[in-house]
Amino acid sequence: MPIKVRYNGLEVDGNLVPLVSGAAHYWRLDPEKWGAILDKVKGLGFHIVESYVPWAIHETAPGEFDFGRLDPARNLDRFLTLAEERGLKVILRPGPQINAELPDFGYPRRILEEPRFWSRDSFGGPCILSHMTTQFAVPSYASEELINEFEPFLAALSPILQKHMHPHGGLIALQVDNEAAYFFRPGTYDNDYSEPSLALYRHFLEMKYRQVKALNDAYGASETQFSGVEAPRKPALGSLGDLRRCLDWTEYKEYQLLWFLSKLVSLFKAKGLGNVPLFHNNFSPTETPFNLADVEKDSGLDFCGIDSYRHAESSGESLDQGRYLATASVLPYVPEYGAGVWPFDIRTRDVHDHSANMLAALMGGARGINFYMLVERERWVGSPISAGGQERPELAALFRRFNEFFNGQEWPKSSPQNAAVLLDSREAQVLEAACLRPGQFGERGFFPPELWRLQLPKELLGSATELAELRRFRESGRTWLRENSFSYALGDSSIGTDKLKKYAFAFATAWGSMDEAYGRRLRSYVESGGYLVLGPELPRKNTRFEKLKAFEDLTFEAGKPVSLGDGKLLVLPAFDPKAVASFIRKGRVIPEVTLSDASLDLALHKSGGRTILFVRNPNADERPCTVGREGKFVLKPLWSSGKFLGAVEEREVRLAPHEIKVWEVIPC
Amino acid sequence: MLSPGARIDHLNAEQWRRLTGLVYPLENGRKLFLLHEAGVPVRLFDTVAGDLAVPKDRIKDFQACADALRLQNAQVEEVWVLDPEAFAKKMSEIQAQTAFGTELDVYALFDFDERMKISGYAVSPRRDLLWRGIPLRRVQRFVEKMLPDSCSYVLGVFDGDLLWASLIVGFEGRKIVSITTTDALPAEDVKDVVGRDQHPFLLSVVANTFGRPAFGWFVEKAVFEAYMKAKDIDDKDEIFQRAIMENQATFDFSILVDRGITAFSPINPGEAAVQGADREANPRTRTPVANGEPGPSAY
Repeated sequence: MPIKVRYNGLEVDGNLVPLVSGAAHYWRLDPEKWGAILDKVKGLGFHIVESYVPWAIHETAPGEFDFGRLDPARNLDRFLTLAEERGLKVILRPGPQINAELPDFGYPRRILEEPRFWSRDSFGGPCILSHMTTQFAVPSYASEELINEFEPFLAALSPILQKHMHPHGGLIALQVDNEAAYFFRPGTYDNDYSEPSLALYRHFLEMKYRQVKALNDAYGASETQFSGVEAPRKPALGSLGDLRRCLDWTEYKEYQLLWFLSKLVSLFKAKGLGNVPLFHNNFSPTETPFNLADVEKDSGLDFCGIDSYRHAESSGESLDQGRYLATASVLPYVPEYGAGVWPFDIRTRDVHDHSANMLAALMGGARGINFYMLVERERWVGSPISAGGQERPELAALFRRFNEFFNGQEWPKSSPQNAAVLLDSREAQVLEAACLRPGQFGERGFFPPELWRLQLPKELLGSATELAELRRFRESGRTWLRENSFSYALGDSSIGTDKLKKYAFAFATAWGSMDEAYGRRLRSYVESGGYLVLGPELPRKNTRFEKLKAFEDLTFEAGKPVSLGDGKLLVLPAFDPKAVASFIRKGRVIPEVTLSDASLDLALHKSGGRTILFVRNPNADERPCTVGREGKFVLKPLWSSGKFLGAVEEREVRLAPHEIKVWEVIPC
Repeated sequence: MLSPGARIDHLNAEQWRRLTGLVYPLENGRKLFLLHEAGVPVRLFDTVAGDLAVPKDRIKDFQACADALRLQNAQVEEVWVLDPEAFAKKMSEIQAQTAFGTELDVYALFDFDERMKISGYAVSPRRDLLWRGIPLRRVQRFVEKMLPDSCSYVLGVFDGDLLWASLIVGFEGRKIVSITTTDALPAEDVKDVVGRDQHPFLLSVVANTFGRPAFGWFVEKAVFEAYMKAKDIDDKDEIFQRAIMENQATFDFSILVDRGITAFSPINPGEAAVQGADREANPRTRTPVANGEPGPSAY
């Protein structure tokens, strides 16, 4: 029976298997200790172990591969057998790119040294990634030749994977490539101007416009054929035609990633590896060029997660990733969640960080999580199991407790209970991205984006407000939701109608232009009873810069709600808390639970008829708080950062700095 | 110096967090950017305060302009003056000249040196590259000129009796081939290292586990913090030397044998190394010979 992808995990042989796992890199560990290490993984309560499979390590010469004949640490077959003997399921990530803190990101050096595979910056130079102990010129995602180079490795690996693939063995999922993110240089004009990429760009334009005339009409240009179209190499905002050329390049950057992943998916399937779900992991940002919804819809992948590496004070970002995944993905999953960290470029995590962080994404709505690294190894620090297979007592206890908590809440039966969704405008993201100068050099770059971004003239799109107003609107909306104790999700213009209709009300940001289909989805949401607050403007144009039709029959008066079907729509040029409160009250939406401290984050989940309350303290000091709810109730503690949960609390609770606490809300 | 294949493992998470906690804030200080187009100012941007009034005068001397802005804006740690387009174009050329796969420190210095030559670009205050708080060029030359082929370096930072942070760096052929902490040593052996005066135990344990320590620095936490936070190399030298004089740091030199030699503060023979003198050409540092010539300890 094939494995099915469900919202809460994978359905394997009719049983739901939540994706809760930990990483152990077999080739970096003493093969004599593999069995003992896997015992420890299981001893912490994990049922799934995950590992990369490094092309560079297994390739001994071009086209020649070692899977244990020369070096027992490369004996993947044995590692998988040992895992299966212990009843562990396995997730593998064979690349081609794996990072894994390897100096070559898992590519054989011969590949990285070949200029015809290189990505190129807007001046034609190679794009250098300086990483850990060395640097290399990053490859182009558009290079089919490079994918062909990878093929023999996958072909050699495939028999081992097929032997262990469900239903024959424990292998239940495969990740395709890793953090396809232009090697941490996602700026619109920072790459990729290699010949294969430019050819792919022109193919993209041809698919989009079909006729050169249509492209010329859009750009105000006089091209004679698609093959002659030059890619923009910096923002050009002088005319609508210039802007459209830049927007197409920005859109192409999403397409390039999609094309690359779909090519790899085809290759995996051609090698007989399509019998288990194939997935990908996005690098943290959710904005363009990252388009999780399109990747899931169009690449052939079964799902796509988002990685997360945060500290106690920044665990709000993990929470937001969970909130976003819950609306954007078919299986909200964090394929890499920092357990320990790489030694350079980021502060090492301590137990407080792990404790504050490990529930944040789940609180937001993530349904699965892979702790990377559960077993420490070279170029990693701070995992619960050492490279020698010893438990680090405090961390090991924390991870054991996590699994007890996770299993105790019947997570497979649970779902987030959000009253609202805060929707970001992907159209505005694309506009912003098109305005960013080239010149972010390396992973960290030199310049803050707000400095490096050119200002988009509002007149160009006929907007009454500045684009910066959109960011203010979004942040004000978020503050209002938190201060009014609403459990909410995050999303963007890619949200589907089915997901949108789960929310009693929605805040949507819009500026400049709106995708016509998204406009229709928003309208349909309102007509079916939703309450929608939209700002700082309802764009007049769609993304083709034609008149937006979705709302053309309606007349809006600033600050006055418009009735539409069973719901209402309120358009505000600036977020007005009073007007929004009055509007939401009319929808008879009230928060199920309230908190007396408006700075705290809250999320509600339902699990088998039970109400689970998560509260996060983002502050650096302890916070007392009163929990309110209609009728009598008690709070049964399920999780706190300390070892002891405490007694059943009635209403008065305390949260340590950066702590996440979880209770079951029991009416009485 | 830093071998691309260097092993980096057995890092004590608490100790490593303390070390990195000192390093990373250094790289994220408040900056002021003056953007110009061929000398005509177009934007003045403070990374905390946002946009400021753009100076009207055409820039004639970019370094003088950066220095003047720095004087006028004491709230920022660094001022950058640059033409974005020219800067990006030149950076692309610099990166195209990179010898790929070279050591990270070599690349970092190459990148820094070439960047500082970009026309229309100036940074105030001007100073040499401090990479992760380390005066990289000085360390690099020290390693090239002074180190024996195979040895290790030991750093011990003490907070009272507690070994607050440690670093053990292994060198082979004057390349760093391993980076680790006391977690790589037998716990039973390290437990006796309580307080800075116990550092000889630490050195002997390192000697038994890794190559012979060529030099070690054992320092009080407050001094180490001040050393790492100092952004001027001369300030670092002074902090280092003063700490030794005031007995807040111990510098051990089992192979290089003369007091005051350090990768971080080359005084005496170390300074000679920085000036380009060879270890074997320096009577203080050359290998003792059997013909009765006095060994380095005579100095």
